[in-house]
Amino acid sequence: MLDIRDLDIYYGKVHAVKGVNLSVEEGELVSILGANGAGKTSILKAICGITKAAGGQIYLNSKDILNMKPHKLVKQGLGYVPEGRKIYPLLTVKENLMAGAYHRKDRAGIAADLERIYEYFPILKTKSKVLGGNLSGGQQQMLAIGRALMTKPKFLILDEPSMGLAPSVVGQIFQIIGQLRKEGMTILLVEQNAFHALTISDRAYVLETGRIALEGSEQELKNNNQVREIYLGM
Amino acid sequence: MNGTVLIQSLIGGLGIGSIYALVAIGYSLVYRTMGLANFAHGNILMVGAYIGTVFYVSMHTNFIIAIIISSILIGILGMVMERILRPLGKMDLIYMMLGTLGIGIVLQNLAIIIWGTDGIAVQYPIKNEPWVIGNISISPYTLVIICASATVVLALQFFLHKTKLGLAMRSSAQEKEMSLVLGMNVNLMNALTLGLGSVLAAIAGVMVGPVFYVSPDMSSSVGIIGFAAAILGGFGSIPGAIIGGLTFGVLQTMVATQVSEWSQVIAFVIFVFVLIIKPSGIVGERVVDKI
Ligand SMILES: Nc1ncnc2c1ncn2[C@@H]1O[C@H](COP(=O)(O)OP(=O)(O)OP(=O)(O)O)[C@@H](O)[C@H]1O
Ligand SMILES: [Mg+2]
Repeated sequence: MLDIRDLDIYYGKVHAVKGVNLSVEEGELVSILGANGAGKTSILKAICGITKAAGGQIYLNSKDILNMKPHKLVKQGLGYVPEGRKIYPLLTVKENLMAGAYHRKDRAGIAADLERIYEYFPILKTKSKVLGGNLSGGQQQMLAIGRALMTKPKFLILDEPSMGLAPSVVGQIFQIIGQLRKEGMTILLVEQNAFHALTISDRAYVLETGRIALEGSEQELKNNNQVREIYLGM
Repeated sequence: MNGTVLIQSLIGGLGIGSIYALVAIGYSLVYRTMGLANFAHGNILMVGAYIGTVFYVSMHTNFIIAIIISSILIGILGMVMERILRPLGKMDLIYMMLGTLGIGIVLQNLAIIIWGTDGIAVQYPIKNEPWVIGNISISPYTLVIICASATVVLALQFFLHKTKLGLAMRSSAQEKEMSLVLGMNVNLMNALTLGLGSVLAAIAGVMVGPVFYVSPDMSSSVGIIGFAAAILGGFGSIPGAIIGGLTFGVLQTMVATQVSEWSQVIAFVIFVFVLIIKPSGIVGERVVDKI
């Protein structure tokens, strides 16, 4: 489904992503783990077309999307939950969700998806008329996920959805991500919360200063000494 | 000031204030979406007024048709402006502001070259014999301006809040990258915003023609007060722009009935006074408690 080859990203002279190869098969949940500044967000932004890559290829469904305009990608089935949520603070919860459906024309489908998201996150229905900026951090994260789902994605990428949330809310968020995967969604998840991420992942990559240092199945990585020490604190 | 004069200048003030409100909304729309103070807005208004006047006075079209033609042409001008400003915005916002200033100067000089500096008197599109009720005399055209402006504002609010394109315009104003990923063409949204703001200026400019002269001075006379009204209400807020515009109109008219030559000065003194007390403007509150 997603195939990244030899991706290079520079910010001025800083070589943030160095020849990364990464793939996600249809129906898989793949995680990228890594410390602050490893280049995780940069890779996701390159997939979305909002950061320019210096070299490499990114294929989504065998289509080279590297030089595609960012606003055309949603039609390719790409859903994005960005780092820091980036909800619209001055739009209501419902308007935030409807912004996700901007590219769609199937009214009935949109209404059905809205109801489905309200079922996943009942609090969003209660707060549907509240401004996005007045939600709590956890509620904003749910809204960001809901908005991405409103685009009706085939491939969902999430950037640190657990960041800054209380443990109980983190559990709830991961449970939803696991459920989406069970329903057949293909997912690429960036996380620092390695334990939670690995538990719901099929495979994972470990990124260190812009390079893939390790990759493997959930079990392989959980049993890897280095991963246990650095990322799982065991 | 007795009651009759008060009511009369209140109505007159709301009339001219509606014009200022339309101009102020144009400033605020563009500021909200692009973070940009559009210094060409007054010049756009003036060019819009001339275009409408050329059709209405010289070519004898219907007044409403003149407004529509001017709106279309000025709307296109606003959208073209986005294309000119875009590369400047990539460098820095300040270059984009200077860009609007430059476009304004070009428009101003073009207008002077084409139409001269004398100004054109415009006939009222309706019979403007004052209605006299008791001691109060009201100009019907003032009421037309108030009603037309209110209709325009309601249509704008409907567009922004009830249509998909309006939602996309408001979204793009808040989170540019996210809006791109959701499929919104942010450059197009910016162009539409500049176009829409310019249309409001054109409507205001043509409508105010019969009240004032249509002349190159409109850029500053009406344009600057519209700018001040936007700031008074809270720059970027549409309700604020309306309140700011009406306040300026009423203030100016009331002061003018007492000491005519001082009306501008006194209105601006009050303007400065309000901003000292409340620097964010009248409605300029944070709508969101925490972001
Ligand atoms: N816009 C930018 N301009 C300059 N340097 C940048 C920019 N964005 C990221 N970088 C640099 O690129 C490197 C990778 O950043 P990136 O945000 O991709 O890391 P990350 O793995 O997502 O980190 P975190 O876990 O803190 O979110 C860092 O060294 C960062 O300082
Ligand atoms: Mg990051």
